[in-house]
Amino acid sequence: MAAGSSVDVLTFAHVVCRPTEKEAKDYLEHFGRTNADWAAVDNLVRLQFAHAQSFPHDLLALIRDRMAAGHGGFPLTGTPEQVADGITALHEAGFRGSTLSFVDYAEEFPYFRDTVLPILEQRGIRIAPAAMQSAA
Amino acid sequence: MSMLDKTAPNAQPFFLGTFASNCSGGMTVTKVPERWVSSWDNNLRLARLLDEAGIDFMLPIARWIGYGGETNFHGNVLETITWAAGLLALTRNITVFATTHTAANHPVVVAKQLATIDQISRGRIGLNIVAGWNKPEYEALGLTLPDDHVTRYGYAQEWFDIVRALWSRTEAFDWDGTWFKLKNVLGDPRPSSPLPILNAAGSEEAANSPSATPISCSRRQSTSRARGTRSRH
Repeated sequence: MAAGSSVDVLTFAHVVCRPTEKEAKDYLEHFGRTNADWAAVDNLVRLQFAHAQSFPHDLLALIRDRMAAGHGGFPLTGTPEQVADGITALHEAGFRGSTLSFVDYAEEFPYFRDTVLPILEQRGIRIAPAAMQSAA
Repeated sequence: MSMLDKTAPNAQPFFLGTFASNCSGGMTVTKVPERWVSSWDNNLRLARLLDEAGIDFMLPIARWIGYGGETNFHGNVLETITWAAGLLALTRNITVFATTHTAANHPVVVAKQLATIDQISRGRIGLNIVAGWNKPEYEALGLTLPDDHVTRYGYAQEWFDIVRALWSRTEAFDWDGTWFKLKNVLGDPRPSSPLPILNAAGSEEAANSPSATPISCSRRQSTSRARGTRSRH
């Protein structure tokens, strides 16, 4: 690591946010298991782990599931409160930020914006855009 | 000024951005009909939503061949430098990254492309540097992927040292490196302020922690791979 450089670590996460935990988990099961493109997942896993062939089977199964649902990203699945808790945990773990992905980014982001961002703002993890502008 | 500047008095405590919206399927390897269509129209619609909501950045994946299967996951991919330029021209605050494979893009060309987008965006372009890992992709481009990480990252480091020199030096210079021999080269224009730089960690880290592959983010123009952070989850 270069001396004196200023380095932050970001991680990546996949969001399935719904009004109830059951809806979120059911949808995850629907797109990420029942209707996963398993042939593509297996190609992805094979290529990503081409040089590491000594995984225990249970870990490989977990990797395969998470590869389907969010390309291996940290799962943020549940209610707005639960998704906010997951992001808070990443913050507390020391990450400087995270990428987010959604099955349909443009359709699902507004619900995240309206329900999760206000919780993060209450907790001081995010600053609302209006407050950013008045501070600038 | 990039919103990713953590030294700014109003920097977000925790940065948020989207990943992979330039790729078909995004991050989800699924057959459901509502899976992500990575068209320009969808990306622009998303960028405007994110920009208005105060989200910090959009990060693309550079990909040249898909993963097959029924959907050919990541088979339809928008090229990241042109994608970033277009989105930045049509947004106000959000930072948009370009992702470049060091082996597939000449550093002198990339340095100038990003200096150009720095003007288009008024300092909101970022650079994500990828040293390469996917052998079939290299074969598709007619390139050889070195098997050892020392060679791969040594090349990427020299590539970035050239970009950094072009963004900082004010006199034409010669470069006599291991991989590049350049004569009388000068970066003009240069970015108005240092760009945010991302550098994804190597594949061993990804293998060890699929849910938390670290990406290091530096405001100063130096590359560093995050290490020792792989067992957080």
